[in-house]
Order: sequence, then structure tokens, then C-alpha cells
Amino acid sequence: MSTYDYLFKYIIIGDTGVGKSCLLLRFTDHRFLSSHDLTIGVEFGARIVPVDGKNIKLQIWDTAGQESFRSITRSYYRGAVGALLVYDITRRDTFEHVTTWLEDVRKHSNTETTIMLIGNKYDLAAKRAVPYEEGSKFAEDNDLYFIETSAKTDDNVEKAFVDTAEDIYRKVQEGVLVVNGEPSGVKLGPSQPGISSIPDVSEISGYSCC
Amino acid sequence: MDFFKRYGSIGASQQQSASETIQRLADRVETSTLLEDKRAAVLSLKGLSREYRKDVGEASLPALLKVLKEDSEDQNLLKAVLETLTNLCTREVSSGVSQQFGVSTSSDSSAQFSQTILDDSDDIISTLLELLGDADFYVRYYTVQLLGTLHTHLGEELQKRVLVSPTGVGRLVDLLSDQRDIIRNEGIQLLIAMTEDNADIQKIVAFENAFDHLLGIVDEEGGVRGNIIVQDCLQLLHNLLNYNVSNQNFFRETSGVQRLPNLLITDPSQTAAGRNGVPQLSESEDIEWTAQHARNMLVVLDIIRMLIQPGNTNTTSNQTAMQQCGIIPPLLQLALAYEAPSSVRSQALYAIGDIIRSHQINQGLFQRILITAAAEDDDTENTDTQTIPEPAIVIVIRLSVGNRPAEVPANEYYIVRAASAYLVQAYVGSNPDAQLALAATLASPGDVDTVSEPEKHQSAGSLVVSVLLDWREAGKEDVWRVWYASLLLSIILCDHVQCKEQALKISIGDESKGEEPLPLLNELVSQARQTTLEGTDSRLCVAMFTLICVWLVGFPKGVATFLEESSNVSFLVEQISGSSGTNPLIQGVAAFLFGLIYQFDLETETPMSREDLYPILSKRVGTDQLLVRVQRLRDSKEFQYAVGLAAGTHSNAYGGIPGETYFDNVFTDLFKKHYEGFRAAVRLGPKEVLANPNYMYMQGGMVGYAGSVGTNTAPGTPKLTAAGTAALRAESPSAQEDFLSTEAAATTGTDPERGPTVPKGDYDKVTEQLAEQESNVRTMSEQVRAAEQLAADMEGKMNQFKEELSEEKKLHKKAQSQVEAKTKDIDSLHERLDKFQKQQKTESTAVAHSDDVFGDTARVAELEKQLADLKLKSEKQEASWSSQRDEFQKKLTNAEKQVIKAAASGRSGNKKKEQQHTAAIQSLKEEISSKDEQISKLNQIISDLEEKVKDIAIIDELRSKIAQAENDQEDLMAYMTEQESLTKEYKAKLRGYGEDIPSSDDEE
Repeated sequence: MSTYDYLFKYIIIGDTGVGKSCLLLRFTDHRFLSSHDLTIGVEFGARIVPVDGKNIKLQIWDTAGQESFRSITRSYYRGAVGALLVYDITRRDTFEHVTTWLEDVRKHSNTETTIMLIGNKYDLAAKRAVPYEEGSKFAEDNDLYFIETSAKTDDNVEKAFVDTAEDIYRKVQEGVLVVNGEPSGVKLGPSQPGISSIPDVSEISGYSCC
Repeated sequence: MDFFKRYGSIGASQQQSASETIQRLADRVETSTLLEDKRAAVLSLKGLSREYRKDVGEASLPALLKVLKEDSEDQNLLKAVLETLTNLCTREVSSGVSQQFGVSTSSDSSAQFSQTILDDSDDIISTLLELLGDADFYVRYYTVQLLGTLHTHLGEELQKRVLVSPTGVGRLVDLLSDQRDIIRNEGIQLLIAMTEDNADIQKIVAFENAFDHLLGIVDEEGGVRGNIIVQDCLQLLHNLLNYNVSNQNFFRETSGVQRLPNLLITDPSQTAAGRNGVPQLSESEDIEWTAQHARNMLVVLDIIRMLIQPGNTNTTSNQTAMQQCGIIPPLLQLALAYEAPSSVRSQALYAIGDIIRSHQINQGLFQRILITAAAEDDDTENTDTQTIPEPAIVIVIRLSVGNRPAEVPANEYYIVRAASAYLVQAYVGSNPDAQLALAATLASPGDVDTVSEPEKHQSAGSLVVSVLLDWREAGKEDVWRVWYASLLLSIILCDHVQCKEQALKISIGDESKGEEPLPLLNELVSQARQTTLEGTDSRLCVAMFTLICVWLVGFPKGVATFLEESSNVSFLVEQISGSSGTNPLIQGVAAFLFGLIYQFDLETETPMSREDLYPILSKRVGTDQLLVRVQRLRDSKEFQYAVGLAAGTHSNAYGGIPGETYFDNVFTDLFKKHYEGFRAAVRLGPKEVLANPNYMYMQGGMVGYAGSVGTNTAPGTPKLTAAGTAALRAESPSAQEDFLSTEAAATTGTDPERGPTVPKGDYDKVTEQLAEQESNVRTMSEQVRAAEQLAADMEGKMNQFKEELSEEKKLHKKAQSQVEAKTKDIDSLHERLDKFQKQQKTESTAVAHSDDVFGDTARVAELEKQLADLKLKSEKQEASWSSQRDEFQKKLTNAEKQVIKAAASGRSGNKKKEQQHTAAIQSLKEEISSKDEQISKLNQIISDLEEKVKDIAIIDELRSKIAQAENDQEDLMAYMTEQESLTKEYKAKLRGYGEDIPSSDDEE
């Protein structure tokens, strides 16, 4: 059981079948399953990633995309500091629903929650129905991060999770996010004696959106 | 109102007045614009709501709910509404007031009102969940109460409604961090109810950091030694983890497992709370275990065991995590805590068992744990004498078979023994080295008469043996002590041939005292006999028999030792065929044991061979009788009970109800594995074993496994190689279960692929041989096919010639024999003629000749006719022969083809086919000889004919007959010569075709 300095809670949301569970499995287990059962309710996964010399433990809740689970999955918004909003670049409707998802997150989550818009299934770019520029534009307009990924070929999956973590870490350093606040998606790891880190502005890494 | 009070008849008018008042109050709540009035009305309703629940509810519920939605700013008003609603929905305890006033309150009015609240179109539940965030103590408190009350009526529905609210569960979890204990405690209660079986809520509660909150409260409340709040927190923790893999992962990932050891520490000075100076009952070593303390601890132990259920995907990681965070030492401390309740000690032992089960590293670490026992269970005065550290496993074995604390009843302490045995089994399971190490301690260094003495200086193994043998003393007040000793020995011997051999070496009896040393095995049988003679609890005999079954199965060497004592067999037979008084369980196990002995009596040097045992099995006992006994055992409720216990792995295996426990899971597992093979094996005759090649190889495997037969050569035919491979595998000493697979392979003819426990070299060799054989067979069958093709061309002509040739041979033979017969006939005719002439000379005087002559003439005519018939018959016969010859020839050809095939596959020694060929040739030969018989019959006819000729008086006629016959002979001779030359010609032709024709006898 390795120790960690901070603990961030993530949620993964988006329409059913866009590859949310596959992204999580790829990130936590470095595996890909082409046929994954429908997620029932919410599944949990975790991994530690290094950010700026700190070990950040990511606790990720992978939610069911189906409408029938929507009310249950909303319960998780409040406690999360990172939200990965996923759509399928080959299915235009999944992109169109992003607006609704975004409203939902904004309504129920902390205002400081970092939201990453993810266009998944990049490996099927030949069948693309949502141009990269469109996704990118939408993200820009709504102040989201944006990335295209492939859980199948492991393109950008790591980056999607780590970039989100970096942004959250930056907010922690800046004091925008309160560690161990209630409710809080950010906590100190067991190795930390207390909240000792004073936000150090000079340390903020130049974060760029992809 | 005053008026009614004063003048109305008490009962009816009071009720009427109440109803009216309630209605008026309800109206006021609904319509009043002044908060003051509203508040007063609600308070009045609240006052009436217990006594007149139905009336208040029916009249005011909509108004009250409306207040809840619209006037949520006035906390006093809210408070009163919430309290009233809670009263209305609280399940009625049928007592006092309502009966006193004769008011009919139907029992489900509270349920009905709850339903109304839930069905409210304005979603009153989310309003209530909002109110949970209200800062006012009473508002919060009564809201939690109301929600809890609603949950008692409509749990599932309420849970659904709470889940719909995105912040609902979060707000409930927030109650856990409420500084006001009363609210916090109410929140815990509500969460316990809501997480009972709703996985979605469980997950969200966990997501909202409930683990941290709960463990924090437990710490605050004094750890596991704390009050009922601690139990509630632990219960909620249990609910969150039970059957919820996702939460179990989450618990481990958030370092929850690491916080468990702290919960086990019973010494308050060691806990965080203790250090913080929270007052505790006692700081002394001998902590008194309150019932609350025990209940708290049992929940903790249950949580631990839940995380490491055998077979779960997370079990291995959780086992590792637990071991790493040092959970075993405090668990051991609990298990050995003399003063702790048996239930706690037993669950602690089970937990250790679950932590090390099938986990090599943890088993290894457990092996190295040394304990310096300060206080032994039964030996408190003697504490200072014992300071030598001992392995933990030895201590655990001692718990299982040692004395019990005097104040604990046997049927209660029983669970500690059971749990210790479970731990020992978890320790040796898939850990053959540890098993062997325990087996090595079986031999007693000193005398065995130490059972009643302090057990400290006795090794674990020898303690087990001595308790078992001294069952009278050890089991006098606690039969379980002996029963578990038997189980422990079973565990130590099970499926491990070296352990079995180790145990076989042990002899009981002190030679210096003039006792005849007896092998432990036979001593056990003799003790089992004693238990039946003395009418002791039948468990003891059953336990000893099952132990011997475990010992002897697949172990011919042990069987041979068993058979050294001839009375052993007769004792078993007595038990099996015993009269109605015999316990059917003993009968069944005895029958099973006897069958195993017959099945595994495979040692060459056995004192009683299978041939010796067979008549006992088939005649004295009767195979059917034996099987029926065993079947009855299998169907007995006691056996099924043990099977059920073993199957529920998380249940406390063989720690069930003492009254029903006769069998342990070591035996039931063995029985299930062997039952089918056993049934087949007892049906086999003593020789049959050897006649059946599969069985023979299986036998080889077993004997090889037992280490008393050298090498197994690769079997001759590919068909048998599978079994042979298994046999070789079984030779590996570590392959404990492999001989079972051998048996399975042998009986079913399949070779289940097992793990790589086979010595690699042997396995490769056999595989190589197998491959070689297979390729040989393939080449051979190809060659055969080519040969067949080639032969087919030749065959046509060859057959033709052969046919003719053999026909000629036949004809030749026939002719020859006919010639011989004729020659003989002629000779005899000559003889008779001479006789006749002599006779005639003596009797010629007065005999009237005419009749005779006439008669003779007629006879001759008849004779001639018969001769003609004979010739016709002979011709017909020849014709039929020649047709039969064709048939023969075909058969012969066929046979020859097969012989060619057989020769081609010669090395594989396909005896079966050869036998077929031999049989075919044999049948041909038989048919030929039957033809010969026909020929001799023909000769018989001829001789019969000659018989008649004998009577013919007229010499001339006879002479002419003779001449005729001589003529015939000459004809035949000529024919024969012709045939011979023809034969030679054919043979020459055949040789020309390259056929190898041996020079036959008749070719002179």
C-alpha cells in the first residue's frame, strides 16, 4: 500500500456506450476489454499518479450512462473535484448530449470542479462524426479542457487523467480548493501530518490546454 | 367546549368534542394568516396527536404538509409540525390511551399516513432532506426522526426517493459529523437502516467518506471497548462492505484495512482513546469482557472475515494488506485471551485462518511466529515455569485438543476447538512442507501418559496422538477434545504420503515395561474396538474410522500394516454386518474403510492379498451389503450436515451445532472424491485388477506413488499411455492429489490435464514415447494402405490360382482317401470272399439255392443301384465342395490380408487383431475338418454298402464286383495322377508370380 500526498475524487460521466468504463480500466489496469457489460450504478477504481513531485491518489467513480441511473449518479457530483465528460466521436448524438451533461454537472457539483471534455474512440477516426475542431470549440466556449482519446489504443488516456489532476493540484496550491473541506473531493494523504503546504504561486506549472 | 365538558355524557361527548376540536385546529392551521395562530394550532394538534392519532392525521395531514413546504422559516412552527408528523407515523404500541377512551385507531393508520407523506405531489421527501441541513437542533433532530419513522414503514420506497435527490445521501452522511451526539447517533441509526441492502446507497455513503467518519467516531468513543455507539458504527461499516465489492476495494484503497488492527487492541492504554486519557474501566491485564465489548469485537472480526472470504477476487490483496498492517498478532492475542468469551476467541482464530488460507507468504510468516505464553488456559499457578517461546501453530493445536478452562462448558468451548482446527487446516492447506513439519512431531519423545498433565513440554503432534489414544481420560468430560484430535491427525495426514509414512513408523507400547510395541495405526483400531465395547459416544469410533480412511486411502503400505493384525479385518466385518444394535454411522464408515482396504491392498508383501480378502468381501460381508451400508452413510443426515457445513466456506466449518457433528470436512471431501471409484473397485474380483490393463497401470501409479515400486515403463500401446503418464505423475511426492487423477484417468479413460507437478524429465520422456508411437502407427497404417493397393492388383489372379490350387489339393486328398478306402474295401471283400467260400464248402449240402440265388440277384441289383446312387451323391458332394471352396478361399484371402496388416503394425503388438485372425484361421480349419468329416461319412456309406455286399452269396458276382472295384481303383489312380500333375503345374505358375508356396506334404 503505497502512500500518497493528496487524494482527488473524479467522476466519469457521459452517454451510455461512449467508453467510460474502458477509459477507467485502461487507466487503472492498463487493459482493454472490447465487450464490457453495462455499468450498473457506479463502479470504483483508483490509481496514484505523480504530479509536480507529489503522489496524487485518484479515486475515480465510473458512472452508468443510462438515463435510468441518472438520479443515482448525480449523487456523486457533489463530492468530486474532477469530472471527465466523455462522448463518442463516431456518434454525433453523444456529443449533442454533452450540453445536458454539462448543465447537470454545473448544477450539482462544486463550482471549482475541473471538467475535462473527452472525445473517445479516436481509433475509429475514419468513422468520425464530430470534428476535432467542433469539440475543441465547444470546450473553449464553456471553459472546459478538451482531449481526444482512445481507450483501445491507449492514446491520451493517461494524459486526460493526469492533466485534470494537474489542474486540480494547481487550484489546491492556489487555495481555490480547500483541502479536507466538507464536502470535499480533495484530501490529504495519510502520510501528511496536517495541512502544511502553503500555496506557492511560483510553483504553478504552466498548464496548457491541449 | 366548556359546555360539553360540563354537561355532556363523559365518553361520547368527549370524543365528539375532540373530533370537532381537531377539525377546528386543522382548519386554523390551513387558513390562518398569522404565524402565531398557526403555531398555536399545530402545537395543540401535536398535543392530541398521540391520543387521537387517526383523527388528527385525517383532519390535518394536508395542512401540516403545506406548512412544511411554505413556512419553513419559522423554526418553532417547523419543529412542531415535524414532531406531530412523527407522532402520526410512529407505529402504534397497542396500549393505554386509545383503549381508555375507546377510540378506534386502526393499527395501520401510521402506515397510511406515511404513505400519504411519501405520495405528496410536492416531493415532501426532498423538502425533508433539505431540512437536514437546517442549523436548528430540533428541526434537524425531528427531521431525522421523521425520516427514520417513515423508513420503518416504507423503507424501499423512501430509499428510492432519497436516491433521486442528488444531495440526499450526502446530507444523511453529513449527520455523522454533527457535533451534537444525539443527532449524530440518530443519523447512524437511519443510515444503518438505509444501507441494509441497497448497494447504490451503500456506494454513495462510502463515496461521501463514511469510512473515515465512522472509524473516527469509533476512536472517539473509546475504540472497541466503547459503548453501543461503537457497535452501531461498526454495524454501519459492516453494512457498507457486505456483498459490495466496489466498496471493499474502496475501503482498501482508502487505507481502511490499515485501521483495522487498532480496533482489535483490547488494552485501552494502547488505543488512541486510551492515550488521550478517556476514562476506561480498568488498566489491568485481566480486562473484564463486558457483553458490549464482546459484541463490538464480534462485529470487527466479522468485518475482517468478510473482506477475505475464500475465493473472492479481492481476497488475496486483502490478505496481503492485512498481514502487512500487522493484524495477526492482535488477533492471536485475542484468540489466546483466557478471559475472552469463546465466541470472540473462536472468531479471532477463524479470522487468522482466513488471512493465511491459500496465501503462501502469510502461511510462511505465520509459521515463524513465536509466542511466549505467559498464562496457559488451565495452568495459572504454574506461569513462571514456562518461558520458552513456542511456534504459534503449536499453541493453536493445543487450543484445539488441550484442556478447556474449567468454567467454560464443553459445548461452548467446542467452538474454540473447531476454530483452531480450521486454522490448522488453513495453515497446512497447499503447504506440504508445513504439513510434513507437523507430521514430524507426531512421534512422542517420551511416554504418552501426559494427557492429564501440564501439556507444555509435549510437542504438538504427540499431544494430538496422546489425546486420541487416551480417549477415556481426555474425553471423559469433553468428547470434543478427542474428536478434534482425530480431525487434526486427519488434517496432518491428508493427501500427503510422506506424512502417512511418518505416522506409520510410530509404535505404541513401552518395550522396557514388557509391552509389545504396536504400530499406532493398529493401536488406533484396537482403541476404536474398545470404544464400541465400552459403549462410548459413537462419535469416537466414527472419528477413528474416518481418520484411518484418510490415512489408508491411496496408501497400500499402510493397508499392509493394517492387515498385519488379522483381528482388524474381523473387527471391521463385525461392525459392517453387525446386528440391529450397531450404529449405522459406524457400520457405514466401517464398510467404506473395508472397501478402501480391498481397493488399496496392492502391496506385494501384503499379509493378506486381495485374493484372501475377496471371499470376505463377496461372501461374508457381501458386496451389495457393503455398498448399501456406505450408501446409507452417505444419505445420513449427520453426513449431509457435515457436507453442508464444509460447503459454506464462510460459515464456521465444522463449528456447527455440537449435537449434529459427527463428520469433518476432511473426511467428507475424501468421501466425495472417492465414492464413485470405490463403488467400481469393490465390484472387481481380485484378479480382475490385473486383467484390466488400465487398472493395472493405475495400480502401478499408486504403488509408484507410495514409493515402493521402482520405475514405470512406458506402456506398450498408445491407448494406455495416458494412464501411464498419470502414473508417472503420481510418482512425484508433492503431487498429493495426483493419484486421484490417475484413478479418474484410469476409470474414465480420460487424462485430465493437471498442474505441472510432474517431474519434467519423466513427463517429457513419456510424451516423447507417446509421440513416437503415434508416428509409428501413422507410418504403419500408411504402409498398410499402400500394400493393400499393391496387393489388390495381384490379388485377383493370385486368388484364382490359389483357389484352383487348393481345390486341387482337396480333390487330390479326397481321391486319395477314396482310393485308400476302396483298396481297403477290396481287401476286406477278398477276405470275406475267402470266408464265404469256406462257409460254402461246409454248408453247401442241402441248402435250397434257388431262393438264395434269386435273393442274391435282387440284392446285387439293389447294390448296383446303391452304388450308382453313391456315385451320384459323390458327384453332388464334389460340386458342393467346389462351391464351398470358393467361399473358403475368400475367407482365407481375407484372413491373409488381415495377417498382412497385423504384420505391418507388428511392433505395436495389436494382439486383439491377431487374435481375431487366429480365430478366423481357426474357424477355417474347423470348416475344413468338418469337410473331412463329411468325407469320412461318405466312406461310411461306402462301407455300409460293403456291409451289404458281405451278404452276397454269389462269388462270381462278387468277383465281378471286385473286378469292378479294381477297375474303379485304377480309374481313380489315373485321375489322381492327372490331378497331381495339374497341381504341380499350378504351383509352378504360382511360383512364377512370386508367391511363396511351401512344398507341401502331399507333393511327393
